[in-house]
Amino acid sequence: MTKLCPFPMLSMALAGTWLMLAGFSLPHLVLGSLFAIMIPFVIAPLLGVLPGVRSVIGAMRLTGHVMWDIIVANITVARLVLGPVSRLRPAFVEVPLTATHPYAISLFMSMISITPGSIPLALSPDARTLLVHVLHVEDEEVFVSNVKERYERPLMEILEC
Amino acid sequence: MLDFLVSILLLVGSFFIVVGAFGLVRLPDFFMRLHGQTKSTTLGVGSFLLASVVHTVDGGFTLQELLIALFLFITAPVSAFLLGQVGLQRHVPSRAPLPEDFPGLRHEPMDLPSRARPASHPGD
Repeated sequence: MTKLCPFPMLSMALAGTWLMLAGFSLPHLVLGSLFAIMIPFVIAPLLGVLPGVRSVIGAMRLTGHVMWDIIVANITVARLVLGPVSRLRPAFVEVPLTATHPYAISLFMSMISITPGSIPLALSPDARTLLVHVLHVEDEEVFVSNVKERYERPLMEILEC
Repeated sequence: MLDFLVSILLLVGSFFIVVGAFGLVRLPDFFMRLHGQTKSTTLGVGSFLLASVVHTVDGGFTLQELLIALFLFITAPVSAFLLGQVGLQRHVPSRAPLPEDFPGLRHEPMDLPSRARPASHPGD
């Protein structure tokens, strides 16, 4: 079984995505399963070491947190953009990373990016520091501890790395 | 009742996308304008997709909206990151002081021509 299906989570996600895209029916179930078995073999050299998921409930809670933050941050940023622009204090902030796994870092960066008001722009070559542009920052240290506490720590608790 | 909910969601989505476009005009520099793009793809498109889910809910429930959101959330950070990389490497004017000593970044502005010059062939 492990020979046939080396990445069970990825295969399940692929099959699920295919069924969501094409609608559920027997032919698509067969086709989706075929893709789910074949695609991981093709892209295996690109994948590296996939992290395991330690807690599904934790992942769902983190997703909920991120969605809530997106709503709150959108309203905040809308107010900033419509208000006096001269009062904005943009800054480049360096966020030291605790996570070392490439997938954890990439997920962390995506989360910073989709919550409005902050965009990660560069990763240092040793993958220890992240450069983030923030639209408006009152206190850089509060921002850094905030993103690390809200996203990075739960992420490291969820992923086995 | 459902139509009412759909209209509200469409209005909310439009509002956030207009705000994103507004930001593109009002914000003074490249890096600040980048924020507009990530804004409109999250809550703006999110509300549109939710409106679509609500609108089609009595004609069979589909999950394709969820996939659109997923693909957007995967791709939007990548494009923002690449645009930002270009901005940093080319030292575009920025209100926030550019980080001079961040490892892995160039320390002088790149001397690139504004238009691509025709490539010279080694055989010429």
